[in-house]
Formats: sequence, structure tokens, C-alpha cells
Amino acid sequence: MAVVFSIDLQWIFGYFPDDLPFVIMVNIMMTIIFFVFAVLFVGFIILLRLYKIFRNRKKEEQRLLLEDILNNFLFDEEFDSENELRKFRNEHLNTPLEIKITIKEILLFHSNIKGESATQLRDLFLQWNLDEFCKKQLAARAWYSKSRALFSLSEMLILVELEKIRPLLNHRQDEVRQQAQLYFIKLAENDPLEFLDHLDKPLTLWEEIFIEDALKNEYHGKIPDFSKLLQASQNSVVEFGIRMIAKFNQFENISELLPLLDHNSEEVRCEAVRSLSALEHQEVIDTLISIFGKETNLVKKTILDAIKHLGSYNDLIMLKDKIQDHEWDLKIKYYGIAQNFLPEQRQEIYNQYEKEKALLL
Amino acid sequence: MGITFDDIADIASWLFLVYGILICLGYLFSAIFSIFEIRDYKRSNNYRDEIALLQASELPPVSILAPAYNEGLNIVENVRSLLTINYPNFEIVIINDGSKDDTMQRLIDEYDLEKQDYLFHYFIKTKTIRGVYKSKNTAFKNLLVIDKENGGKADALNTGINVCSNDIICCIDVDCILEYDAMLKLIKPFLNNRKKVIASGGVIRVANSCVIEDGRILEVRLPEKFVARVQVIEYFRAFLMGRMAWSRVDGLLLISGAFGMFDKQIAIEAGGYNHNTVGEDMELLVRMRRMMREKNIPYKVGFVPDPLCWTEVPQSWEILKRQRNRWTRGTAETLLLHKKMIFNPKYGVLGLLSTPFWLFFEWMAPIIEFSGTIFFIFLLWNGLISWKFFFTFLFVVYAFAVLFSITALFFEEYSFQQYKKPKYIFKLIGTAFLEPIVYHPFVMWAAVRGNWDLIIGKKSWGEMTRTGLSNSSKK
Repeated sequence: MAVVFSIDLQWIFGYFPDDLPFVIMVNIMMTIIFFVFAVLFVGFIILLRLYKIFRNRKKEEQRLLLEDILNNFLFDEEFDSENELRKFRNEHLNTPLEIKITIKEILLFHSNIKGESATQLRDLFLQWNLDEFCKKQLAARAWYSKSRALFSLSEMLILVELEKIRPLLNHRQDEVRQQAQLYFIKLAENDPLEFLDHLDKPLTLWEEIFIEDALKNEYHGKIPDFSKLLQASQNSVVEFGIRMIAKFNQFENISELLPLLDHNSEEVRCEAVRSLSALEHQEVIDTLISIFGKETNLVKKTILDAIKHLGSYNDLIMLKDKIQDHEWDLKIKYYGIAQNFLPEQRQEIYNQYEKEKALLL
Repeated sequence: MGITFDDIADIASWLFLVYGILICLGYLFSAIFSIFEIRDYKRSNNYRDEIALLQASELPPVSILAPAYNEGLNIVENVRSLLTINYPNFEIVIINDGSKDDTMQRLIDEYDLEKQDYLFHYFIKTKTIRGVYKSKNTAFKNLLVIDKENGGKADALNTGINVCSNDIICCIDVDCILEYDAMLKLIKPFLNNRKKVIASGGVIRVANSCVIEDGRILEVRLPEKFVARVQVIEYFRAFLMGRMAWSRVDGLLLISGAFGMFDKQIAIEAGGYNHNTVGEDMELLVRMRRMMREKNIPYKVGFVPDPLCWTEVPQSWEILKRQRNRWTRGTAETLLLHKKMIFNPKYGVLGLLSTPFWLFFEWMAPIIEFSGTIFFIFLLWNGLISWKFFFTFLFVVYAFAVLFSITALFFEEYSFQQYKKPKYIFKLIGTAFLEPIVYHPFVMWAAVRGNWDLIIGKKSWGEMTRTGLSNSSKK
């Protein structure tokens, strides 16, 4: 190695006069290298600009062709589907870019139509072998290819062996994990949340928003009994279950929510209070008042919100003495709710708060 | 065997050289980390329209805090623009920081405000609140205006924190222009993390010369003035190469005061914005991070690589000098306040990487550069300059500076490509070649002056007169 290195150096420095100090030679070398890189980057910038222009133009051309052919395919009865589609496939589905744009455009059309047209698009997707492309992408090493493939396959409701999808639920990349979750929901005939048992990491709020949306808009089976999630080992799944019970008005599960007011997780208790409030379960007020004093600040705030929603001024004043002197955020909330209950006494309540403030500070 | 003058000159030369090499290596690593971060971010954003879904979702309510001081000229338009923010649940809190002009009266007249007995508590000590105003018009029901005694930006923001009603706060400059989906993107780190997120920030862009209509950027244009144009490159370097890299290693120390989101409770626990520094935005984040670390609570600071907010940068050398003077003092004050963290392994990446980097390569860089210049003059005076050495070193430094800026331009082209017209790119390349000669010595001098002002105890912000974005090419 040392020999090679010395030969290289000799080759490089051989161009410099012998009497030139080493530091100057290095400086000249570095200046040249930096300038060469700067010029290269300028070249890259120009090439990138040209590449993006070319790519965008290609995308636009393909998109316009697709728009035309898809509109004819879906809505023109005299359209010669068999020949035109075959022709398009032969001429315009040859490069990965063309295929990707086609998939994207079909997905866009698919998201805007329902019923028979959606089925027709799905058939076209299969006819053009786009599902095979997606399956290959699913097997690719790159996480973003997997993720995109999962998205396309789930949008087009194309079934893949679940053994291939299940490991992706715990993929190291968030995007893959999320698309795998959505795949399970969209393709499930029943029990769409079965996959939640297999997660090795807590759900994020972001994932929950997408799961809820998929349940509401893309899952067509029977809405699951969310109380099953209340036994999950992950608290995030329990919280999600509690929230869904309220969102899907599963009043029959109120009795399952009540024990969660004693759960060891603060977030779970908060979620339980919120859901019971959303489900208008007025019977819970006495329990909330009784637990208020021993609760954390976060749960206390949630209880105050619940009292505002479910209770009365008389319920509220039961909490007054349970608010500690230093809990100013709770006091503000308390007096705000009191003003809400008694709008005609707004000024008196404000004065009361100011008086209390003056006394304590 | 005493040490000769030549020996000292030799040692100093080597020290400057080592420092130069270290700074170059630092920039090189930040470029490498950034390109990976940008690449991953681009790859993760190719699916369905998340924005539409988020608009329809129950997102956490956010209080947007915007301090205003002598903004009478544009305050009505600025507030109107803020009221159109695309987010399902928010309140706008304008804090009039004892303006001497008609800011408050304009707000009262335009938005039909009336003084209310508003419930609040001084969780953080601030100047007295003269009154809290809400609109009689239900169209402006999410607008809250606080009128307070003058206490500076930090004090105004703390007042906003005390009075606002939501648990997530977004602190912004009242005159900045937000992208239509900026809030929806900035909230994402709070939703998509398994750790507690204490703050999130995004990329700030230069709005000078852009075409603006109703508080929205219609067309991105390159600033006409050189001094503003060069700041475009500076912002590319700072955000696309600097913060992106720090975000990847979870070592961010600064979320721009122009647009950042915070967990209110954590901000209050940390003591809110510090009145005694002019770098209150950096100081708050460092203090919040330090507190979380000392309490051993796992947490995260989010960073969104999308351009979310557009701001006006100084167009005159004098204002630029004041701004850089203040930035330097802010950095130095923050590092001095948190010197315990520097090289302290207890603070992980922050202690071993971020704070030392900021100390040596942000705060000290202009000082060392200035010392180098003095040293050069000294050698020149004593006839010790070898011009061969001088020019070759000068060329290396110049070439590296140009390369670094061109790399930042490449990152912009690779990622967001906001400057669509080809002539803009060529102008920026030209600017990159001029910057080290024309602009850099000036900001170095401003930073040196900032350090001097710090030593003599100057605390003021300095007037930051803005031309006003409403005066940009407006349609």
C-alpha cells in the first residue's frame, strides 16, 4: 500500500517544480480540487435542471396520454378498448418511469371514482401487469419501493400473500410500517385491526389518524368491536381503542371504559374520560368528581372539560376545593367553565378569580 | 534555547491551519448528513395527499403567538393573512408590545375589538398587561389581542404563553409569510413520534422581491439587491446543509424565531423566553433540551425540511450589520449561559457535538478569522510574509468557500428547486463567487463588533427597519 501511495504522490507532485515547498504544493492541489468540484457541482446543477425539465415533460406527456385513454376507457362506449389498451401497453409502458406515472395516474382516477368504474380500473391495472411491477417493488431492498408498492397494491385492493406483508408491520422505516398497516385494513373482509396485536412499537398519533381514516373510508366490512383493543399490551393501542369507541358511537362498550379510569397510564385515563364525555355518559360525573383530587394535572384538565360538556355548575363547584393553590392552569379553566355555565355572572366570576389571585400571590 | 519570534509565528500559522481544516471537515460532514436527510425526506413524501386528510382530522389546537412592535403600517394586512392559516383548530394571539405608533388602535378599529376581563395567570413573569381584547365580530372569534407594556420580543412572547389557551404554541414574526400548509406540516413531528416532542421548526426562505398577494407567495423571485441575494445562499447553507444535518443527529440547538412550534408546558417549565439575551429563540430551545436531559425524559426536536415560512432579510448593509451583531451576541450569551453543557457527555450529542461546534465554528469563527487578519497585518508589518504561501492559502480558502456555497445551491436544486427561472441559478452561482470577497468580510466584522458589544454589556436589539413585504412586487 505504502508503495502505491508513494508512487501516486510522486505522480501528482511530479508536475510541480522541485524547489516548491510541500505546503504550497498541497495548497495548489486543494485549490484545484475545490474548484474542480465547484465546477462539477455547477455542471450537476445544470444537468439536474435539464433532467428535471425532461422528466417533468415526459411525465406530463404520459399523464395527458393516460388521461385521454382512461377517460375513453371508462366513459366512451364506442372506444375500442382491446386494441387501444394493447397499443398503449406496447408503446407507452416500457420504462420504469412510464410505469410509475401510469400507476400514479390510475391511482388518482381510482381515488375519484367508485363502483363499476373503479372495478374497471382495477381490471386494467391487472391487464397491464402493473400489479406484477408492484410485487417486484415490494420485494426490492429499498424501503421506499416497498412502501410505494404497498400503497399501490392496497389502493387497488390486490391481494398478496399476507406472510409477505406481515413482517413489514415492524419494518425499521416508519413509512413502510404505516403502509403495511393500511394494507391490512383496506384488504380485510373482517377484523381489520387484527394486525395491531403484531406491532412491536407503539402507534403514533399520525398512524392513528390514517388508520381511523382507512376504517371510515376504505374498509367495507363490519366495523369491529373496539373493546377488544382495550386488552392490548400496548397502551397506544388501548388509547386508540378508547377513542374509536367514542368516534364510532359504540355505547355498548361504555361499561368496558369505566374500569380504565383506574388504569396506571395517565394517557389512557385521559382518553377514557374524553370518550365517556363524548358518549354523553352522564352517570360518570360522580366518579369523575370523586377521583379528581387524586388525579394528575393532565387528567384533572380533561375531567374539567368533561364536566363542562356533561355536567352543571353544581357539579363544577364540587371540584373547587380540590384544586390546589398552585394549580393556576386548573383555576383558569375552572373559572372559565363557571363563566360558561353562568354567562350572566361573568363579571362576578372574573372578580372572584382576581380576588383569589390577590389573596394567593 | 529560547523560543524565537519565528517559532511563535510558525506555531500560530499551524494553529490557524488546523482550525481551518477542522472547520472544513465540519462542513463536509454536515453536507454528507444533510444530503441523506433530504433524500430520505423526499422519498417519504410520494404518497397520498396528507394535507387533505389532516385538514379534516382532529389535530391538537394550536395558539399562534405573534408579537408586534410599531407595526402600524402593515399590522392589519398581516393579521388578516394569519387569520387565513390552513389549520383546523387555532387561535391567533397578537401581542402589542407597547408600540409607540397606532398599531393597537388600527387593530381595534379594523377587527372591532373590545376589552375583556380575561382569565390568565403570570406563569412566567412579564411586564404588565394593559388589556386583553377580543372581537365583537364572530368572523374573528379566534383572534385575541394583548396590549402590554413594552418589554421586548421575549417578554411579548412570554405574555402570549401566559394568556393563550392551547397546549401547543407556534411563535412567529407577525410579518412573515407562511406557506398555505405550513402549520399542517409543522405539527407533523408532534404527531409522528414515539417520544415527547418539545419543539419543531422548518425551513425559512427569503421573501425579498417575491410576488406576494393576500399574504401568500405567488411567485418566487430572486432578490434584486446583492446583499439580499447573498442571504439566499446563506439561508440555503444554514437550513439545507446545517440544520438538516443537525436534525439527523438530533443535535438542533436553534429553531428560528420567525416560525417555530413548542410544547407550552415544557416552555413554561423551562422558564419561558429569556429577557436577558438577544438570542431568545436559541436560548429557549437549548434550555428546554437541557431541562429534558437533566430530568432524564426521552424527547425529540422535530425539523421539517420543507420551506414553510418566508421572511424579509435586511436589504441594507447597515441593518445587516445590526442583525449580525445581535445574532453573535445571542449565540455567545446562550453558550455562556449553558457553558456547563459544552463537552459534557451527560448531555449526549448536545454536549459533545452541538455546543462545541457552535462554540468553535459559529461563535469563535469570526473572532479567529479576525485574529488571523490582525496576525497577517503583523507579519506584513515585520516583513515576514511569504507571498507564495499567502496567495496559495488565500486561494484554498476562497475555493472552499465557493465550493460550499455551490454545494448548497446543488442541494436546493436537488430538493425543492424554488428558483425556477434558469437566470436565477446563474445569478446565484455568480453571487457565490462574489460572496467570500464582498460579503463575508463584512459579516465577519459585524460579528466581531457583536462580540465587542457583548464585552461592553450592550443589550439592545438595534433597530431592524424593514422595507416591508407589502412593498415587494405585489400583484
